[in-house]
Amino acid sequence: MSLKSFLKIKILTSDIKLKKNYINLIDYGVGNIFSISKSLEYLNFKCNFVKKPSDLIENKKIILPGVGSFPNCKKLLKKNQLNKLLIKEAKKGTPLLGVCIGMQLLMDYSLEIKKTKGLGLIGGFVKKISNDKINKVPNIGWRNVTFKKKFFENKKNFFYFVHSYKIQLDDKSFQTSYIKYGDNIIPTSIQKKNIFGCQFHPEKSGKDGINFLKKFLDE
Amino acid sequence: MKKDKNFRFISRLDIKDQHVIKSINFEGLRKVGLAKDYALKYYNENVDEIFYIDAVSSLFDKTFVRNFLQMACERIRVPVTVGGGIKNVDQAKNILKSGADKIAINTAAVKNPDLIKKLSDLIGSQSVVSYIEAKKKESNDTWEVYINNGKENTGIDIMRWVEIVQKKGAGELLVTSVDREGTEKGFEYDLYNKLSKIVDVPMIANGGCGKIKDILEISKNISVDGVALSSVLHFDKFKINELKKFFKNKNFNIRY
Repeated sequence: MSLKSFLKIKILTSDIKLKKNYINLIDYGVGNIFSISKSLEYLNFKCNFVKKPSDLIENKKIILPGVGSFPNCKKLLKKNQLNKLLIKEAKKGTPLLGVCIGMQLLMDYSLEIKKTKGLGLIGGFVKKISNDKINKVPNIGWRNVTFKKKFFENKKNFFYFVHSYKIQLDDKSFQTSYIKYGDNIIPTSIQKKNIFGCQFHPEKSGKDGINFLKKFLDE
Repeated sequence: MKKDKNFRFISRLDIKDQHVIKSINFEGLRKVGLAKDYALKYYNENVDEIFYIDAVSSLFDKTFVRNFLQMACERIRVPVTVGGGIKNVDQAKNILKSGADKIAINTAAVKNPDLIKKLSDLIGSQSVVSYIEAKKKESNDTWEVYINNGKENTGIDIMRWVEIVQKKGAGELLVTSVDREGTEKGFEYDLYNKLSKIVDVPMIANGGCGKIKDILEISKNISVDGVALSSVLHFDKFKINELKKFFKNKNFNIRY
């Protein structure tokens, strides 16, 4: 090996190991990864796409996205053996943010299509939102979210939602924000120590979404 | 309008190659500008959503999707819906991978309604928009479903069609009035009033908006959740900021 190429490899590895602003983005074949990675890049983070457990950069935060159906997301996570990795990392204390179905996956189980087990990191389950003529299901669009004051301070809080199912927490104290939707109170973000989740799509929520992501990244 | 009803403002961008184009009644194309520039401009003006529709159905082309869509979605941090020539599940998946949130289908769904079910099972019904082009039958108060940019009459009654797409799992309807499209004469209110009897997913009205008052009028329909606008924005009749200020002052529940 020439000195030049040796140095090149050395620089490359140090780039991966030492760069402070890497973030692990779980990439298990569900959509939406493009937009969230662009938002993270905008915030000066580099995305490390985790397709299999060995891809993970240790001691870096993890984002678990999710779109489509809960059973399909769960199936794909399991197929790539990422479910065990996520449980291990969460228990170790690595900050983890689940987005949309990524948040729902943190729960014990979901009733979407068929009862499917989640990661069991947060007590509770996922159930369908009840609808009426004005508050339709799926809940699609921008909603004004109410945050716990200490959790997130932002001027306006308009976030974009696309979902038909909501989480039901065993312990309500993990809820950090909510929206009222007809007769439903929908928890829109949660935190249990190092484990975070949001039902809305921060990567699709303009400036407010960027601020929310920033909060997780700055934690 | 009830105060707790939400309302969305969507900019509709008809694209051909990399350009935004605009037509009247789907005839006579006119180039407006680069699609990515327009999307960014509306994003910066606080638009709630972007709806790209490819006029020449190039979305089956993987290279086009990669080259165009990724660039067009990169700096847009609001939801993006994409339609135009999507024929199967793989194309839809490819489009979502490039940064879009929803896909809109019309022609392929008419030819094979089960495609809606297939798509909604796979990517979730919230990501499947049934795009409908409706044209009034001259003889009576019924509308028929058109395909191929309002050129081809399928002879299907719109009420029957909407029942079908909802049953198959479409998560949203985007209904364009072929007669009003590009005319700026106001929305076709009768059409949406008729549809509101059977619609139970979000519905977006499109075609005919000429002034802010037109939007105020259509927003009174309980089933209409938003409007998709094109010429009024492209030709600077009013700006999205202005529009939002107007609705905010009227105590509407909108994102501002």
